[in-house]
Amino acid sequence: MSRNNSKNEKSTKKPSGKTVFAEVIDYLSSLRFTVVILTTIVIVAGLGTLVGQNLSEASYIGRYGARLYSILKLFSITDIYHSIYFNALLALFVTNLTLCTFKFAPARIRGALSRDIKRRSYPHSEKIGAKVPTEECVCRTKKMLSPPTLKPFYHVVTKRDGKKIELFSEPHPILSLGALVVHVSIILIIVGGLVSSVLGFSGEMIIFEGSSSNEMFVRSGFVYRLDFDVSLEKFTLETYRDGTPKEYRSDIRLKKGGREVDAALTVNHPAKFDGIRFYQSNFGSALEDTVISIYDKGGKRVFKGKIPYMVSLPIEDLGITVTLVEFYDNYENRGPAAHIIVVEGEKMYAVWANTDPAELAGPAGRGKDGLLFVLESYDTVPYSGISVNYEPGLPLVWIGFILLSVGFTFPLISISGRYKVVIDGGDEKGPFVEVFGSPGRIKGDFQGRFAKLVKRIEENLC
Amino acid sequence: MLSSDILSVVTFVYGLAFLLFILHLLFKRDALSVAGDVVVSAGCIAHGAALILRWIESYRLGWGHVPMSNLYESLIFFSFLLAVVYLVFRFATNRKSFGAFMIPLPLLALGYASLSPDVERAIRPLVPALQSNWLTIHVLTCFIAYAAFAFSFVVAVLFLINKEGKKSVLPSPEVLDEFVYRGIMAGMPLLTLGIITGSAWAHYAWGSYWSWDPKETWSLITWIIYALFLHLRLMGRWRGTKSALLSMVGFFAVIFTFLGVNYILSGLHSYL
Repeated sequence: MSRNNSKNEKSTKKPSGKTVFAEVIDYLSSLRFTVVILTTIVIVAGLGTLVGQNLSEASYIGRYGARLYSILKLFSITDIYHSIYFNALLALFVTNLTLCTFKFAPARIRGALSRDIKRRSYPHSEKIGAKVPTEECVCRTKKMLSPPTLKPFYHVVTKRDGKKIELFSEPHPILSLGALVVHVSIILIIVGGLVSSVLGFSGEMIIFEGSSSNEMFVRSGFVYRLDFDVSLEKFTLETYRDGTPKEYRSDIRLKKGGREVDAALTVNHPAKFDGIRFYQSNFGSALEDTVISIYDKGGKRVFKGKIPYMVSLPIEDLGITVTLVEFYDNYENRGPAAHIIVVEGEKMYAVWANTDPAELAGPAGRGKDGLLFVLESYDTVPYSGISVNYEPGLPLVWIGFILLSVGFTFPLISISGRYKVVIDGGDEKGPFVEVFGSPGRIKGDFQGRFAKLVKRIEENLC
Repeated sequence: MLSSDILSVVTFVYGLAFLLFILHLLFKRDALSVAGDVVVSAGCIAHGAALILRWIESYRLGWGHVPMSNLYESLIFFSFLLAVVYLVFRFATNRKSFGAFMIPLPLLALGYASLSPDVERAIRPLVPALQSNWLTIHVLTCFIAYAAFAFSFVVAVLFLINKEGKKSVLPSPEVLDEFVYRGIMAGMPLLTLGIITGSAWAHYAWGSYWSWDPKETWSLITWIIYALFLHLRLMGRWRGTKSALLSMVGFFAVIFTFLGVNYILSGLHSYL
């Protein structure tokens, strides 16, 4: 945006007979408001990253204590990006951006479409005595006026007024729309996101090998039923020599009505079915027929039995409730381990149950009150975590991304300054030629470039 | 590995160049500055060769990927870009006094990468999420942007040192102020491309082009800070000291996005 805009803006702030509504609109479309709203977004978004988002209750309490956690939760700081106030901030920003963009758009577009050359001051000027006829002068100067590397983006305009001929070298007027293109593209991206969040959905499916499902877990914790089934035919995990995952792949079959489509999902290679996208998101093993033992401080076994996966099991003799939430084939190089959440009255803590109690005899393997959990036996079933998305606003986002990239290049290719050459009068040897230069926003070594251009013109006309 | 050994030596080469630039400031002999530039150029060539060698070495190990996949590789690539930015600036503008101020950045980045015991230097295979053509373009655009912002940061510091225009060894405050702006003008489109390519990649890899992951959020914060810089400047309000300070704040956000997020916070973008 140019300085003229800021002048316009200032002039609108003078006391006048404006209604309160008009004044509010003026403020909402002002740069001052942009600065306020963006600074607030920066602070709130930064706070969200520092606090950590959507972690488990236990980890928040471990980090901040119960009292501070309750305050953080009250103000939605633990899920700040989905809070009402953060979305309100984004809405205010979009309002500001839209109002500001549409306020200046008509004048900008008119300027870009106009063939007139704007009057401007040229701080640099140099006179040359030409020794070729006027029309030859015009012809030769025209060729030299565009900056050689940016020629496609510059144009030379000729104006004739009687004997006086003016040649202008300016960046193509369409390039002055860079800021407008950038602003419109940001609006498109945000609108695209909004369309997806209102009309679309996203969630996660957990499908066990050999089974099928139509249940999708969404962020709010609800289960959404899709109108088709997804079956996991085969899950393959390929590893490098050192054991790190190289590729994981889900061969899935999508079934809707009588139609069946097979697809292979790997990370970075999603599949599409009926406008819905499927992504290989994670994988793991769920436990079946898990048997654990619990030993007390003295090493005496106080419990042995089956515990279900992801379902709380009260153990009344010990006054605790246990939930098996995770399983790793090899946790921290100590072999198979099950992650168990233990609730004891008001207290909640997590323990790892390994298969080898001898190694876990120390305090590391014990719960807070000294209980030692041991994984006695288990069976694993591989499962695949598949993200499912329907994002009808996605094309808008892609268009926004492309426009944003293009818009940013406009100021860069129109940076090279503006020149004017006046060819007028003269004697029988040739016309008088005067070269003018205006560096624009970035001066850099404009003086040097201007001197070079003058020299080139002089050499060609003399 | 040979590439890591070469890079350790390059650290000392940059150190030598820095020493020569300091001596140039002290004794005002042009020969010292020329020697510094020759040393930086030699270091930079060896640095580039070491990056290519590491790429080849990764193929020899059977993994084959561009050296841009973890903290060490990003630091050695970033320090290379910082040295290149200095050389481009030096030969495009013919200004001799900047070496002493700009070379410490690649020196520190490469020194930390080469010498710190916390940085894993072995070539590791790519995890599935990183196996994508987006890797190169995303890392490239982000790090060139970071290097441009680093340049702006150094010049902003120099501006604050020479606010009154009394230090004869430095360019005038107006020239420095414009360099701050030019650095950001170059960095901003690249950071935008970096965020867009990252976002497109996240769409294919994680199924969501924006998920408020700490890395994404901090890249947006950085982008907003520089967007504010450009707006305040273009509207003719902030120049000189305020503008220099805002550019420094922007660079702190860059450093936090690059390193702070991974050291302090946890998220999806855990590779570097």
